[in-house]
Amino acid sequence: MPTFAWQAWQLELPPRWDPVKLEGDFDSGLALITDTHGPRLGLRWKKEPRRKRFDPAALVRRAMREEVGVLAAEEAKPFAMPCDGWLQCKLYEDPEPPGRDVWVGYSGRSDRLLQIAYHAQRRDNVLSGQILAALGEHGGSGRVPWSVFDLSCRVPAGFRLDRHRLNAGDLSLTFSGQRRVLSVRQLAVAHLALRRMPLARWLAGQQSRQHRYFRRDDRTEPVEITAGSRTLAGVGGTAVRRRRFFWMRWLPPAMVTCALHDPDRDRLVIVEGSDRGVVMEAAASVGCLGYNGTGAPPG
Amino acid sequence: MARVLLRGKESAITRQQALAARPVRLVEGPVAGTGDGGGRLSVPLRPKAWAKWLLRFPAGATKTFELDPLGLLVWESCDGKTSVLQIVRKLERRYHFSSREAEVSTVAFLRTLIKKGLIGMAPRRGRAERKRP
Repeated sequence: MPTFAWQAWQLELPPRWDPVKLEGDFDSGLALITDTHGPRLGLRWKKEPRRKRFDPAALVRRAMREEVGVLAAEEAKPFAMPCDGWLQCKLYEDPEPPGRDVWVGYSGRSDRLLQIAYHAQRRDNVLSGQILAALGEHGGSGRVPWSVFDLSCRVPAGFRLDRHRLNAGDLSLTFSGQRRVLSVRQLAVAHLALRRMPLARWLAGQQSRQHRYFRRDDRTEPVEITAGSRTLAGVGGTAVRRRRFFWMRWLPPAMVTCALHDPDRDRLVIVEGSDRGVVMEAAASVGCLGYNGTGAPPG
Repeated sequence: MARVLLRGKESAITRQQALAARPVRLVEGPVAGTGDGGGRLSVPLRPKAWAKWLLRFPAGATKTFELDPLGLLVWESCDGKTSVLQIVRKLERRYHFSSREAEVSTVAFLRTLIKKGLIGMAPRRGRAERKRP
């Protein structure tokens, strides 16, 4: 089952369910997930800071009422989540599908209200037995998992998603936090991409995106990273901030980039960041979730 | 205005119908292998009468399209029997793409082939239509 991990939420989706709309940030946003036939699942989250007289039950009740209406909200039942951290959860199941099942929960970990709407074609346990059973939230410390389509990685806590570009065959996530930047890019299919351009040119191409502010060092060094049972090999390089931008203190002094070939997954992985350790860590984590582990080369 | 609206209504097809459509090759030409799994497709040029006169096209002029292995797989699948969805599934299995990635790239490529006049789409006939002689 593919894993979808976004803004610290983590879900196990049924096969062939993919996100088609991803908006917002950690504090508020939405994700729309569809299959071949149409929308199946919608996620919406919003930060609700704890005030003086804070009542998560009232918050969940209100959100449910706004989502399904007064009468249906009365039929919603409390739902016990398998993992802790949820202060209040309620589930409304449409008695006569096709219809919309709605789950609303308040997470004490991040103080966020999460609403999940499932388009039920018939009465099944996809929402309660599969999606909610595996619904998780990352605590905020350690490394935060991110997984969308075929790209998955772990990013140190404190990095927030700046932008994402999810083109077919070229997926990239760019993070920033505390004057540090990190960009993780994955290209498919590697053996075709490498036939078009060698790895060194992919590296140079990535570095030239920052050409305006950073001067690329032509020297490259071989890089090899072990990620579980896989070995990623490639080249790495550094680009230094141009001297005329010395006053731009918010820009890191240097950018480290490495372009790696993951032959087991037949993907190219390009990781760029201001901190060498973070870059190497992120590169080693690419493919950690959602990877089917077959290791079978295509063709 | 009414005509435009009606025409719009006629051409609208659902997502399911689009995925069930079977692309069919409109031109037949030799595909020479390129050694990397791809191929070069040569199709005869069919210039319009005025272009033939004005630009003096030589007889037997051909146009060559270079296809990468993925493109060749899609091109070979455009046989009028395989649906778009089946092509998507084929790509998904062979290259370990996610469903959405395979669908987006296949549809984009098929659209390009249609624009170039290389393929057409045979819509799946409804039950009523199939009964008709």
